[in-house]
Amino acid sequence: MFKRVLVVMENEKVNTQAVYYARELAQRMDSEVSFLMLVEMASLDRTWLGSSRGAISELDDRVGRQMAELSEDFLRLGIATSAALRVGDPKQELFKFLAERPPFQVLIWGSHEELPGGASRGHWMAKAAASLECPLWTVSSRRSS
Amino acid sequence: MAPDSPTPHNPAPTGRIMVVDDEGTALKNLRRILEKEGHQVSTYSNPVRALELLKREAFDVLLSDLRMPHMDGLELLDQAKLIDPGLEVVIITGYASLNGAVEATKKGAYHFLAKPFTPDQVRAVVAEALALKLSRDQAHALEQEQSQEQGPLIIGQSPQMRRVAEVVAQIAPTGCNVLIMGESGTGKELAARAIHAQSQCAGGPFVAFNCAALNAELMENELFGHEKGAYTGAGEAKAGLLEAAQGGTIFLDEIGEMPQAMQVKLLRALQEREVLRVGGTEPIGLQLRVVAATARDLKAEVGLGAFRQDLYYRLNVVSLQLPRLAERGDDIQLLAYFFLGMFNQRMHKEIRGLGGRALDLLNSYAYPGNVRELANIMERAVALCGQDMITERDLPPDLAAVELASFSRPGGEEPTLEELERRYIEHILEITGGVRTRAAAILGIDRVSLWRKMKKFSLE
Repeated sequence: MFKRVLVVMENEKVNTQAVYYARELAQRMDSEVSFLMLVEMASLDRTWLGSSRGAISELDDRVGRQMAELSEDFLRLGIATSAALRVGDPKQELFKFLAERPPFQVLIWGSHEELPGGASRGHWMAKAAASLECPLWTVSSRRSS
Repeated sequence: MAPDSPTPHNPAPTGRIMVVDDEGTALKNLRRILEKEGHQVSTYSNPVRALELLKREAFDVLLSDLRMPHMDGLELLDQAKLIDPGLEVVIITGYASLNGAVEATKKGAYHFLAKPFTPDQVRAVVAEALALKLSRDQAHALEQEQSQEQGPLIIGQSPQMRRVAEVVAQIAPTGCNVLIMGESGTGKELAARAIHAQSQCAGGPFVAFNCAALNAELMENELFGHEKGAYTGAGEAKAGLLEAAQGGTIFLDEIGEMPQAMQVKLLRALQEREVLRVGGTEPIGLQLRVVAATARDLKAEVGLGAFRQDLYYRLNVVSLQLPRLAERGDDIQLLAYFFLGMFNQRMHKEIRGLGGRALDLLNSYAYPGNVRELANIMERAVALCGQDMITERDLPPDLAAVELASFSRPGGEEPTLEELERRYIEHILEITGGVRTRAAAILGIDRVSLWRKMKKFSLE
């Protein structure tokens, strides 16, 4: 059954086109949508280890607000959403997140139009895609045809 | 009459074309242009005579002038459509009057050719009309076939889907367990139903169960049933789904999600060919076929220890890989027309087809949700469409707005010949109750060869 769509994002970057597509897809497939924000430790303030509680708490607030804004449009259309934040090694955190949940049918990359650096330069997500439970999709604006 | 399908050597479809025009020169020109394209062309300057022929012979496309002395093009269109509602009509007009065009549209003419026209314009409009007729004829043929056949139909003319249909036809009568692999929405349950419908147990039940829907405890109760008083609230004995599928097929969807504890119990039931209800002491014999399906790479799951290897081999006697819709080329158009017919009927509409731009968008979209997504898109389009053709406006806006690219895991690995041989021997030994003489006879080898193979594959 096609029920669950996951939008994966990194380091607080959101590709609005991907979010728009996730909403349209969920609407026509009658699916629920989960947002997962993965934040690498390195992208936090360098001093975060020293003041981890404060840094994580600030991040939590910021991402929480961001996710709430993203979810608003979905909820208005009657699409159930959930959101999660994971801090650490993004690839490992993604796999842990997936292992804890029933399977998703579609994964959408929600941070950029393409995976940064491309598959050749080895973005972690491109490498992770080989081990995912379903295909990962990137979304970009259509070039006029 | 159906136009000839395009082939790699003949990219544009050809068909039987009737041309009606009171001007002899125009008729001659049109005949020359169309015959060069490989069409069979009949020309008439008198529309009444053209209609007489239309009653006797089938044509794919009618090209008619709008203004003629004996009968105008719109009247001809009316009568021609009464004779053959599937006929595609191209109205040729030197008077590009809006009224004429609107009226012709209402009467079901979709194609127009304005005078003066170039040979390229003629070729293009006829090719478009033929392509539309071809898609409609194929979708109609599929509907007919589906209503006549007992089982569900695997729709598709692509090489991948032809291969799927062939494999289904080959494996259905054997009775062996089948593992169907494919992404969500590729039609795994439909394939399972087709296997059941073409099998020797087609008269028996087909029971579908989703292994991701319940936890281990509820799943055991559902699959194995329970005896009266097995637990609080079990006031009556209840047969499980395995028993319900007795003499037929059980379809275990999303088998990769089955909890480990249940995998052991299912394996035991399949090995022993009997089931023990929860709280029961008397085993009940099972005679059924198992068709399992998964969107996961089950072999990789076995490697990771998430799925039992023995159960994997028990279920995967034969595997069937269903392709993604985006890999199926022309099937998108064929399925779009199939769904158009289906939803037209359901919603009491008479939408004739899909406009060129709408078709382009459907053909270029990636379909993460596969056939199910296309069906949903077509259902929405038919519901929204207020004209006689589906246009871009009736399709979801994201189809025109975004472009998708996929990073997918490598497809499920095909089993090696040796693996297949091992599984098949195991299956034959199972159905012969381990009687080697009978197994060897079915396999077409002598007993010594069978013994050697059993030793090689550790099947003793």
